[in-house]
Amino acid sequence: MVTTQIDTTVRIAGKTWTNPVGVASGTFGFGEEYASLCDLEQLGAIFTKAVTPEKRDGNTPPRLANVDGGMLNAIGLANPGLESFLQLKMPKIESLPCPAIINVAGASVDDYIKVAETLNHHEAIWGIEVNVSCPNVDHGGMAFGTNPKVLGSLVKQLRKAYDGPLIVKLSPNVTDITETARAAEAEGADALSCINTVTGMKIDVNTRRPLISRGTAGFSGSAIRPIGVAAVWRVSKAVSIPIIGLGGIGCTNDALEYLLAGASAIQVGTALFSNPKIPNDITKGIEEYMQENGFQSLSDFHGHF
Amino acid sequence: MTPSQFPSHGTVTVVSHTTVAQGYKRMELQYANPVPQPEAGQFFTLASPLPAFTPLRRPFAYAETFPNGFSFIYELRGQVTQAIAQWPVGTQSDVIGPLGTPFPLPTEQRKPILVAGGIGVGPIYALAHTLCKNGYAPIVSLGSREAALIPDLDWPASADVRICTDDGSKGIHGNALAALQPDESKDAEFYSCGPHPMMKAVYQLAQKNDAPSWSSLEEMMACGVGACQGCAIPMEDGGYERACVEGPVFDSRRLAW
Ligand SMILES: Cc1cc2nc3c(=O)[nH]c(=O)nc-3n(C[C@H](O)[C@H](O)[C@H](O)COP(=O)(O)OP(=O)(O)OC[C@H]3O[C@@H](n4cnc5c(N)ncnc54)[C@H](O)[C@@H]3O)c2cc1C
Ligand SMILES: Cc1cc2nc3c(=O)[nH]c(=O)nc-3n(C[C@H](O)[C@H](O)[C@H](O)COP(=O)(O)O)c2cc1C
Ligand code: FES
Repeated sequence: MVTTQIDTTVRIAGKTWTNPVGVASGTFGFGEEYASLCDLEQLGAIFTKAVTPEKRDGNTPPRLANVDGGMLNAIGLANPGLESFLQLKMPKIESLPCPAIINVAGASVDDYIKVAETLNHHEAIWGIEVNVSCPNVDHGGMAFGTNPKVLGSLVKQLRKAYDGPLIVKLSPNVTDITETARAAEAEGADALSCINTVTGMKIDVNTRRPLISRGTAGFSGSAIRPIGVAAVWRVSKAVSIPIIGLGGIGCTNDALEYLLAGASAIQVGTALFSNPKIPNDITKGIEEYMQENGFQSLSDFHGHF
Repeated sequence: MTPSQFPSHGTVTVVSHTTVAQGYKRMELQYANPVPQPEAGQFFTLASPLPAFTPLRRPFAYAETFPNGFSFIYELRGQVTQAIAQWPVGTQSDVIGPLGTPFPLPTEQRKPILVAGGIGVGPIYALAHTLCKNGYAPIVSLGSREAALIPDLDWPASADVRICTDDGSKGIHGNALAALQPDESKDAEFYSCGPHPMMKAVYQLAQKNDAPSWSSLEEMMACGVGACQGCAIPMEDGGYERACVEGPVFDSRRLAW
């Protein structure tokens, strides 16, 4: 068999990942936790847990529940805060063998700007992903991600504060996701991550209480994949910046669906909880698919839909 | 003791699978490749047999450890435990472990008192064996609703095992603390795993006697390796710690009961 020369490089704002398979924010900590369970060197990129200016303890437990086709989470952006992040996590991020993208969150515009400014020009950081779509906090979070005007103004200010790749993570909890996508692109986002969790809830009929103490939570896992694929497909027709697809990816075919729908890269989230090696398997699987189907680069996928 | 730094992820094969009580089974698994030996109180996560439907791995405590494998004792509860209960000998799966912080050995001179109920029997069984190997003669109090729910296990000879049932169908009539004489609690060190009210009662008894106590807690887990912050346990001094890294065994005095 003649093997074609294939190129799996992802390019965003002039920077690259060697392959299109990243791991999703909040599911992979800051990378070190999985060092013995996943080949980090083979990852396209690691998206870290959200970082906020101040330490956050997170929501009252229970924070997790099993639901058919996935899970619910309401972690509440629990993280050590910017200062401890720089002190304790940064040295470990510096030694990661793949790009590290810091997920940035906050309760106000100033919060986001503070984290972005501090991380600007930090050698060890490949870029930032702005979490404007967390359904699990009372202030900020999803509020920024559901109103195109509010989002546009946040992205505009972040663009001034941060010079590296600026990725905006979109919420599926909107009527028309192309509106927030366009607003982010118009104000200078370099790429879009699509999608965050879908708002969900589960009630225990015996105790007559929600399983998650907050009531509602973020729904993730294989059941949300059709929502994510549809979102990527619609967004890809609305914007011209690269899209990183995620939501329910658990195997090579799931990843290929996203690439065919218009994504330039993907992230694995909840599926890591069932098998931390899944991203490594998908990377190999995508290359094999490209080899078998005569695709030479990731952009070949887009014309094939 | 420090938490295990490098859990491994590997294939296991079922080599023995039996019913040990009504609604409880013991599964013995053999590793395909050698892995670090776990300590009593540590746990592993078992891959869900239905990953697209219920993706989260399920945590279980080690009950016995062997040079090339281990056993655990589990209650048939929901989707995953009902599904694995059907596994015949020879079934393959995969486990990640050892995870979490184990039980510490007792402070010098103190007599270990172990209290278990329900799914807490597995880790307490492991601890009883570890203690006996180290020259201790622990008291083990097992609480249960009725005789049929008490697992039939090979407790070490030097352990003083006392059975308590709520309905009096076996052993002492009463809860797991009914088996303890007041003077036994004086120079004791307590270890408990089981229903929350039971562990709280053990903690209160320990407090009354100014004795150290350790509780092994259960909380929903997603990653099991400290990455997701899902398994938060509220601490007495505010904030949370992770059941999968700092726990599941905690100094009872540090917990927000
Ligand atoms: C550190 C630790 C050690 C454990 N050791 C044992 C043991 O030795 N023997 C035993 O029988 N059980 C043990 N458990 C509990 C065991 O994990 C659950 O019984 C099992 O996950 C139930 O799965 P299911 O699909 O059958 O039930 P489901 O119907 O899915 O859930 C029933 C209940 O099981 C618990 N549970 C479900 N999924 C998880 C999860 N991902 N993480 C934690 N809890 C979950 C929840 O309380 C839930 O309400 C332990 C739990 C922890 C956290
Ligand atoms: C436990 C958990 C924590 C998460 N934390 C974050 C977070 O801090 N920031 C963020 O942008 N997304 C967070 N997410 C959302 C994921 O990154 C991802 O967008 C979502 O889970 C959908 O992908 P999946 O179905 O592959 O998990 C979290 C998801 C889970 C399950
Ligand atoms: S289960 Fe993820 S941090 Fe404990």
